[in-house]
Amino acid sequence: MAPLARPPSPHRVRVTPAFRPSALSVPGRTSLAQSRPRELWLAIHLPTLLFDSLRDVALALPGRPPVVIVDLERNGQVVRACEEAVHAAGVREGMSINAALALVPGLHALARDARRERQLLEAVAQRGVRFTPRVSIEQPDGVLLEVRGSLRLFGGARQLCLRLRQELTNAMGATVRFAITPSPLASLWFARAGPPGARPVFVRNRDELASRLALLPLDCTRWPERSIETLGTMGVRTVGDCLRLPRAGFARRCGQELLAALDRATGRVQEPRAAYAARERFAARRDLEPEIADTARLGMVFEPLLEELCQFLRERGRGVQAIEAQLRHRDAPVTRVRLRFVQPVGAQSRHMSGLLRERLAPLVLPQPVRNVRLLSGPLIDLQADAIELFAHDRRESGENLPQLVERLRARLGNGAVHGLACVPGHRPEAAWRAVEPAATKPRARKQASSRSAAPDEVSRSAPLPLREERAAARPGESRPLWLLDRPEPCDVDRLVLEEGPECIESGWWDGHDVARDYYVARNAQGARVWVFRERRETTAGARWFLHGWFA
Amino acid sequence: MSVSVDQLLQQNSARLWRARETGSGAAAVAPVGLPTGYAALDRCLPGAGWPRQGLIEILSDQRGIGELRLLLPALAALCRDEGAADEVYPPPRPDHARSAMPPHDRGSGGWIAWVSPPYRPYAPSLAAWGIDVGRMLVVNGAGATEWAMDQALRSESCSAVLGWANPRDPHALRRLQLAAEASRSLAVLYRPLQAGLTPSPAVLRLALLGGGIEGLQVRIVKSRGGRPATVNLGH
Repeated sequence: MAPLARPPSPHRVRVTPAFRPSALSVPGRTSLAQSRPRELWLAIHLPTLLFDSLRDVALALPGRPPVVIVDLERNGQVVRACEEAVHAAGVREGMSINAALALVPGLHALARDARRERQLLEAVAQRGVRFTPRVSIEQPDGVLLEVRGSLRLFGGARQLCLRLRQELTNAMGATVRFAITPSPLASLWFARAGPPGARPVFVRNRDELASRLALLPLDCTRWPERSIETLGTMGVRTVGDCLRLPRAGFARRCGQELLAALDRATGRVQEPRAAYAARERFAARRDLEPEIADTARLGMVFEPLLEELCQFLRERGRGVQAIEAQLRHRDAPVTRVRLRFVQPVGAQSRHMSGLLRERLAPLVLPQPVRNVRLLSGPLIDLQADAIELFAHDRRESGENLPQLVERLRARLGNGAVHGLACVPGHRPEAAWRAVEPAATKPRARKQASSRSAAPDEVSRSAPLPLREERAAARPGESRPLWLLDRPEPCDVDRLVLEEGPECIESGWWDGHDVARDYYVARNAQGARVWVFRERRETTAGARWFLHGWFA
Repeated sequence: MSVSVDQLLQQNSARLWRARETGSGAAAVAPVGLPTGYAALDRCLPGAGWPRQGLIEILSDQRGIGELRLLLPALAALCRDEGAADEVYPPPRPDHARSAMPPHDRGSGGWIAWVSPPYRPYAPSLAAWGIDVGRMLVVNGAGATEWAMDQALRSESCSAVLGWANPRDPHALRRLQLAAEASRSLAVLYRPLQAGLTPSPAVLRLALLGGGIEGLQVRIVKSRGGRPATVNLGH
């Protein structure tokens, strides 16, 4: 029932303080907010982000045709952004591509590229880091910088904006609009609303916010279209109009979120922003003088580089999951050695260098190595593990397993080591799967795996023809311990069939369907084998196959 | 200081090995082994089970005669919690020996490594045997089986390491035996029957003879602290 802000208006309802819950229930809020260090948020809005992100593509087109950016919306291609020249010819956003072509015949359509847009936005954020440590990205086309502490350093808001514009427009070719206010959301609204050439809006005091915001049209808030329409029918077209409405009624009509947005914009409620963290990588190089042709010595060359990497990781308290060692030769292409870790590895130089040596040793170098580089993959937050106070048996938890797997893989290859998992399914070859040996604690996995192996689960999860349910009903002794990767033709005359047949007919959905009668048999040496008779015609003519051993 | 021999025997029966009583269970040699799950075989082994330290060699030329089944109860017990393992396979060992055993020596825990198995260990079947397939680690050793086994034993992350190889080099076998001795993992090496003719540093060597009507025959070729014997385990 309380009006949202100061500006007096004829519609203002007088209410007694008892009916102003927000003001009454938190009497300390305003003083708390004032005691907090004030913030000033500079919003960077990129009105032509779509076009800017594809600018170099457009410039590289032969003959420089006029360009529009299109989006595959609904059925037809819809124009999302266009050059100024095209805009002048009457092409507007939301037009179909055919209508645009009718207006500008030589038009060239480029599909928008979300990845490039994101990259441009991140590049802007990275430039922003030069001006303040607190940078936050507002998807899809805004970046926020907290600049209160930077104003003095850069000689005031005006100078700061000039420098920033120089950086962004001249160096990156991005069209930008700025606004500085104490509230991040208000800054964004101002930046979106402002005409391109105008001087940036600068509001220093929170008390001024509401009155300055009042003139903004509701479009710049990017609220859902329906809400804006509803408000429009009520004659509410600016932010000021909204602020004048009673709070409870506004929340009922437009939703609590919009009311919260208004509160954030006017600085009534603080808005925490997620900080942008630049994606860091480690890269270091070393020139070798003289050149090295011996792989064992190369391992030693990498040792100080790995030490640097570990220092880098230690300072940030983070880890990597992949590193790449590059060996550069005089003419031959670069030799790359990639190490992937099962778990993110922190500052463990000995572990890394051990693995790297193992991988370098068998290398055959095309030429002596002139210089080496060490690159890291993306940095990953390390999982904090509690260390046991009392003696702890590492074997029990299998903690050493990742290191073991890495050591084995370094020598034997990535495919040489795998774990096992049961898969609910009736075809013998599809009832198991090679999986990544899990880094999780085995005890937790135990239940999961035993559950997936339970026979009743099999029949429940896959409603299949009756004939097969019999097969799933008794998995234990009816399945061999050794399974052959590909069934081998065998001579049934030398076997004594003991149990069977068990019909397995399944897999029509993935192109590997089988129709087999399985038997448990005993061979001349007394070994128990699992054989099947192919029920379909085979090209080789063989009907009987050996598929497993009951070892 | 005149203590009779009988008294001494009474006092130190746990630490004293009497050749007469090997494998009979009354006063087995420490350390106590991991029960095999086959009572007939347990009776013939010193420690009444698989030796927990040192290399075990299983010699067999034939497939499908039960060479894996021989190990599975023990592997299942390793996967299970130690308490449950004792319930299902009550090991015939004296109470004092059990209490003397450090807690971490009981089977609980780690992974089971299969190094260069001849075929695919079939997960559904292993699961039916009560083995946690989520803890299997299959390694394709491709000529470096002994090295891979050695690594697995040294890492202390595996509660059992099974390997299929026939190391010609006696030094390789020796290294493997040393690694198995130092590790707490169950170390099993499958070799062809022919290898039984050459000496080996392994703690226990079993030759498997399959076939016939009587089923799997296990011949104990060598057993440190035990005696050669032949056990018939049936089908």
